[in-house]
Amino acid sequence: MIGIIAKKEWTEIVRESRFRWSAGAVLLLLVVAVVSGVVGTRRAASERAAATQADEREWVSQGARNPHGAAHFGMYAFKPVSPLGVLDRGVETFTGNAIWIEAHYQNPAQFRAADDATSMIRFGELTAATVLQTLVPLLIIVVAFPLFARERESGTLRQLLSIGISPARLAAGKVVGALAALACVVVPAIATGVAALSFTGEIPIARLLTLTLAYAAYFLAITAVAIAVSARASSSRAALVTLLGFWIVTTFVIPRAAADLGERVHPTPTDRQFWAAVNEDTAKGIDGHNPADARGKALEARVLQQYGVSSLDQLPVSFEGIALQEGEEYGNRVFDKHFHALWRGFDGQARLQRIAGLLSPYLAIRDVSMTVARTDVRHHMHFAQSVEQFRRDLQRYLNGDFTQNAGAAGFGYKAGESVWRNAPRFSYEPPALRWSLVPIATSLALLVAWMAGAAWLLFRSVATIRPRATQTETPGIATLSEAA
Amino acid sequence: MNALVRHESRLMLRDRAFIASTLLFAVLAVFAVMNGARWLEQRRNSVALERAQNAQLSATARTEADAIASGSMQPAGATVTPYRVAHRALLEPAPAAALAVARGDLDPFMSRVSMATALHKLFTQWQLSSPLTLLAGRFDLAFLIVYLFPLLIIAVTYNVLSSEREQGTLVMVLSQPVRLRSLLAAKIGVRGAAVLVTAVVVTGAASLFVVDVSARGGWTALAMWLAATVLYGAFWFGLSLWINAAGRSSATNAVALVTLWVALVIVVPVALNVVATTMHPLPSRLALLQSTRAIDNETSRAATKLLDRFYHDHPELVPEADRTHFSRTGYVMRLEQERRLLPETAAFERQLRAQQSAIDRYRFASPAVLTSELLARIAGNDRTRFLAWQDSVRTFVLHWRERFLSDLYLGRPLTPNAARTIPEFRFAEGRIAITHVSESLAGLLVLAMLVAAAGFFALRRYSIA
Repeated sequence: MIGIIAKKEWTEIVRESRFRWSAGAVLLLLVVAVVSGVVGTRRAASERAAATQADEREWVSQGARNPHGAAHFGMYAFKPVSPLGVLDRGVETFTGNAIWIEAHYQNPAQFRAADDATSMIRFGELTAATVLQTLVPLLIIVVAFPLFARERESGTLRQLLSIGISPARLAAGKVVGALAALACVVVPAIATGVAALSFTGEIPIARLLTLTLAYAAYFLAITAVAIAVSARASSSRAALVTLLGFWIVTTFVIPRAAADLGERVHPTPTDRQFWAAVNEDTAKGIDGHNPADARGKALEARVLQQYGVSSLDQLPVSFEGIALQEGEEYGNRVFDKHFHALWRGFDGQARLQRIAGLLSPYLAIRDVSMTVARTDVRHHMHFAQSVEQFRRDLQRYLNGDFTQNAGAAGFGYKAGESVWRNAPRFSYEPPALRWSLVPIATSLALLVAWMAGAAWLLFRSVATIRPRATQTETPGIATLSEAA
Repeated sequence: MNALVRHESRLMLRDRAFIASTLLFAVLAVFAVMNGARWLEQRRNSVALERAQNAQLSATARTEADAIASGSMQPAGATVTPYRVAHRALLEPAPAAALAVARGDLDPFMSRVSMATALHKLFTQWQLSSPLTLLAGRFDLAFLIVYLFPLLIIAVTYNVLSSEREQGTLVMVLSQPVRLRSLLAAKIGVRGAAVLVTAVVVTGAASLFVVDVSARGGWTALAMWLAATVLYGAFWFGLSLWINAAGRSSATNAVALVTLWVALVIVVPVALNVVATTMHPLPSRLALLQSTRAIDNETSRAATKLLDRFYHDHPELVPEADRTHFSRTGYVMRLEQERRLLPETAAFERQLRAQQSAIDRYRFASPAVLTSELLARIAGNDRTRFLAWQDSVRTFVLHWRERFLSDLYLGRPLTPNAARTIPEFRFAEGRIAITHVSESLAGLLVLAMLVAAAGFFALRRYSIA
């Protein structure tokens, strides 16, 4: 029975020119988005590989230098491209893709794509995720709004119910029919996506599967909401207007409002505020270039005692190297304090938007999608944290060489190529799927809740379905505010 | 016609949904203006802090220069030397900056100028902004106008004619001595007037609190903003008129109008970005970075040689005591780096500008692009003003170098006079390009008239039954 109903709906939907045009347009956009995603990702990957090689070359060939000079020359760590970034660019456009590793400073990432973008960047970017998250729901609404309402208007709903079809089965059939029509767009899109991924290397199957399930839940939720509204609405026009209002509010109004709210609750410090706080904390302590102040004195006394000598000239190692490393250690504490506070703020903003997913399934799927694609803020912070770990190792290595080998030459000591060659190298191990999924449990649960809630709404709506519009419509305009 | 307008106005005012959605729009407008104002306040505070730094630095310079001149301080003890003295060139927010954040939270607004800065590193700054906030974009007045205003218009007009026909009242109305054209014009006109007047009054009144009208160009900016709002709204009313005149059902009208909205507000801008960046692709930033590093490396090794070459050309500048060797080496190194990087940095600049002028040229493809570019420009948070500011800062750097060059090479400390006349950056900003604004406004007007005319033309084949 459900099969027959589904087949009837499917046939009706795909015969409509409105569906064909809009589905065709969405499919076209999806394919263009995936192709440009592949082109962009491959370009970014090759640029970063070339940059990594060149940076290695520059590091090794920097010539004879004091190890601390080399630490200031520094290295760059380039963020590896995430394969699923082909489908969802997440916040990648707004996070930098290179981190400068130097002495004394933990630097934030630089070279954001948005810096070099045109003013159109504020309209968003064409990615498969954008199309799936914003345009496919619109397609679902356009397909599903008349499914019950029009049958009621043409009187066929009454006939159907009179021959004893259970409303629940009728609804199930309509859901299946609508989803089948939707599959005409989504399945080729997935196929293109998978093909595209195979161009960029190994396919992350578990992540891809998670994404597919998440999007399936999202589409199911939207379909159920749409058909439920269609079953309840007084006319197909009212159903459509309500659903469009729902779509606009959940995909355009709530996300921006939630972002602004996030900034209010967890304000991001300005550059100046942030660095002023860092500098103030550092100034209280030891300065690597100036071992003469109070902390320097204390360190001096400690080192003298440790080596059992009475003056710095008698030390078997370079005191400057020790002082530099001491400065790093102190700086690390300062940076941990401030960067962790900054990141806690970002995390707080993300959590707040996650909660706003209660009102907007779009926010839930956006969160899941970019996190699984590893293009969200948290994965960026993971990268930054791992670069910082490396920076500290590198400083320890260079200051160690200074301490051991500088002798009386101090800052006049010059190390050579072998020291640069033997220095540690940065390599990044992206986190596993489980690490990605834990913090987005809220969003995953919300997606399931949206799906369940929508199914429940649909069930309730058809259980109490009115075969005829009981009231004639008042002249006037149903509006967005009804849905809001 | 008078009777028609009176009748339509009564209908409209009785329509609770119309009143509710217009009110919702008004509330959101106030929210949006407040959001923009909050952003602007933060920006103004940051700018004020930077200005205070400038003042502090020149105060230190004066004190030290006086002390050196009076002999109470050794030149070597000065913290503010010709090499170290610095000035922060600032991009001050324009009078209407709170209305459209646009690129305001992406582009830097400060550049530190000194003998130690290289031209290619003037605008590379660390950025801390929350990526998630940047991704979502601000809920400012420009967002409300460009995205949500058309939807309000669609909501109150999509079925003005079709609903009358669906209820059977259209035939009755037209049995009176009323022409269909006048009826549609009255319906759209009355709603248009009500919505546009509300929008102008509400956004205008809210903006008065955040736009600095006492500043030069403040009133003009506000007037241009409101004009853009009205004309953009007029376009959507015209479009709705056309769709109504096509004679389909209310549901089809709604779908058609929302599809047009998606196409014009979402798809065309994104597509335009793809076109502009494909036509004028940027070279790789990372490749530029690597060239910078390679050149850094080579020049630092060759620095001593470079300095020798310079002194060979300028024997009059060789100092007696070679105390400030480090600053001089740093300076010549930087000049050399700039010279060698010039082809690459110039290519970058060229392509960036080409991309933006492609957007400028093709902005007429969508009234949403046209309006959003126009609003950003009125607010002064657009690319064009930013690029002009960058040019102005570069010129300032050259002026700065001329000023401190001989002191640096001769190893002289700052004189009390020099410390009192440290150059200050002024952004010699023109008024908002009036041709761009009037072209955009005219473009909106023409587009609005075109769609309305197409509507009246289509109305001739309207079937009232």
